[in-house]
Amino acid sequence: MHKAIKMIISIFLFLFLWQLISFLSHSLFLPGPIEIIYLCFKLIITGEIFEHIFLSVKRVVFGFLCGLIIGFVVGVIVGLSKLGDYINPILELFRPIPPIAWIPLAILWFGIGDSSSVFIIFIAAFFPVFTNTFFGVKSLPKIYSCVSKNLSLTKMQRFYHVILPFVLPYTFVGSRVSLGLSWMVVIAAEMISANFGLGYLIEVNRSLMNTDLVIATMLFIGLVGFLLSKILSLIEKKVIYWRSVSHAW
Amino acid sequence: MPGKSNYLTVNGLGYSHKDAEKNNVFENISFELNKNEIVSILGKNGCGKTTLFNVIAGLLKQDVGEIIYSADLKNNFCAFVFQEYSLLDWKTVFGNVALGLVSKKLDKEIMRTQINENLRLFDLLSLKDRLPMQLSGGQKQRVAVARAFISGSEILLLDEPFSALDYYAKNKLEDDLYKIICDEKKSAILITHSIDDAVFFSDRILLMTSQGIYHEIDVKLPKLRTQNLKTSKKFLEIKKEVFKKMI
Repeated sequence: MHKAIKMIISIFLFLFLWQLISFLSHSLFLPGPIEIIYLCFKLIITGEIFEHIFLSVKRVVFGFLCGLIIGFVVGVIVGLSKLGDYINPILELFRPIPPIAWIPLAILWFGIGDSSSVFIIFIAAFFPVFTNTFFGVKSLPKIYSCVSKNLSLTKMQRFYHVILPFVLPYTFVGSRVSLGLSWMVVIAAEMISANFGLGYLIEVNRSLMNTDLVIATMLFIGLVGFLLSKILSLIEKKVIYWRSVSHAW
Repeated sequence: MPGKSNYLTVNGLGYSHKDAEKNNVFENISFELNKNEIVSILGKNGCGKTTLFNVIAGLLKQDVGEIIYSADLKNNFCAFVFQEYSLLDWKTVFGNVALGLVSKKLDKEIMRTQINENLRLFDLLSLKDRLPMQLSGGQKQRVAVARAFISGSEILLLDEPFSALDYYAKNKLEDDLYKIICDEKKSAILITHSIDDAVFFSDRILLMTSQGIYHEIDVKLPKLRTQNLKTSKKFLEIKKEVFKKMI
């Protein structure tokens, strides 16, 4: 059977089961899919959802970019220099701390609003990028160092022509994990420390017992997260172009 | 002091591992490389041939001995063609060869002209936009040699450049490389396990152990060489001589 047909069948099956469970239970616990889809269209037509999406995406993009850039720079510096032996144990100590554990401190330092959310997203995005970049630098084959030295490349030329392109695929692996984490974390952070955003919308509607709006917002979270991940994949394909070239032999 | 026609003089070179045991890799290596000469070094696995190249290329520092470059040389360095494929996966053939010129900071147009000439010389012009993963083993090694060539060194260090190639690719690269080295008046040192390759490629063969160069054989074959030479009587005689002397 064709892949698309299989996909359509599985979606319909899922919606049917959802509707069945919703029919058998109270609508407060699980509103049906038709009701939710109707609500989603309503939120799109009124434009109410876009303001929240925009704010959440803005926080994610800003926090993620900060984490990506700083994680990459620190990963390269720690990987290349002898400072690594001093810095790495400290970072390893902080790495296992879940980003949401930083929420109380973030509120204390930055107050409720954008800054605290961005800070938590930054924490979430930093470690996967740092770890993967560091690992990439450490995995640089010795032969590349020998070639650079034999061709008398300067440190900058070596970085630009050899280290950077070699490390980028590792950084992208980290950034994919980072983006997923950032998106999860922004919702958690907004539930606690924001006055706008998709997480805030879920929290407000939970307290008002608007289960249908909670689920509709969840669908938007999934959709936007999926789109962000696709955009990152497209950028990755453009930047690491040599990975998508087919072998000729 | 090196002789008048010597490009490179290696004098009493010794190197040991920098670990706690300080195992000697090789010691007392002395030989000379003359202008427009190709010398092959034959020796068992583990006798330190590749390490010797690393020391000559300046990638490792010797414990004792000296490496003297002739004052006639434009550059005091040897271009290294590594045993394993050393091309950068993210650069095209053009980009990989261009890496040999990066440190020279030339004008872009001059650089482009030089690279295209070099690619033409190595029969790579039609492949210049391909990435290494789109090349065969022979083509990859050809690019690595082209990059070493363009770096401007007059001495090439060839570390088993044919070992990963199939019979046909090896013969073609051998023929072409030998011709280019002679035409461009370069000097080269070749490390190999193959007596055939050593005899075909060299003017002189040095037999090496970790204790030093123990024998030297002059290869008196015509300068114009193609694979047909490998069936000639003289070639087989020299091959036999090398075989007898090998420990």
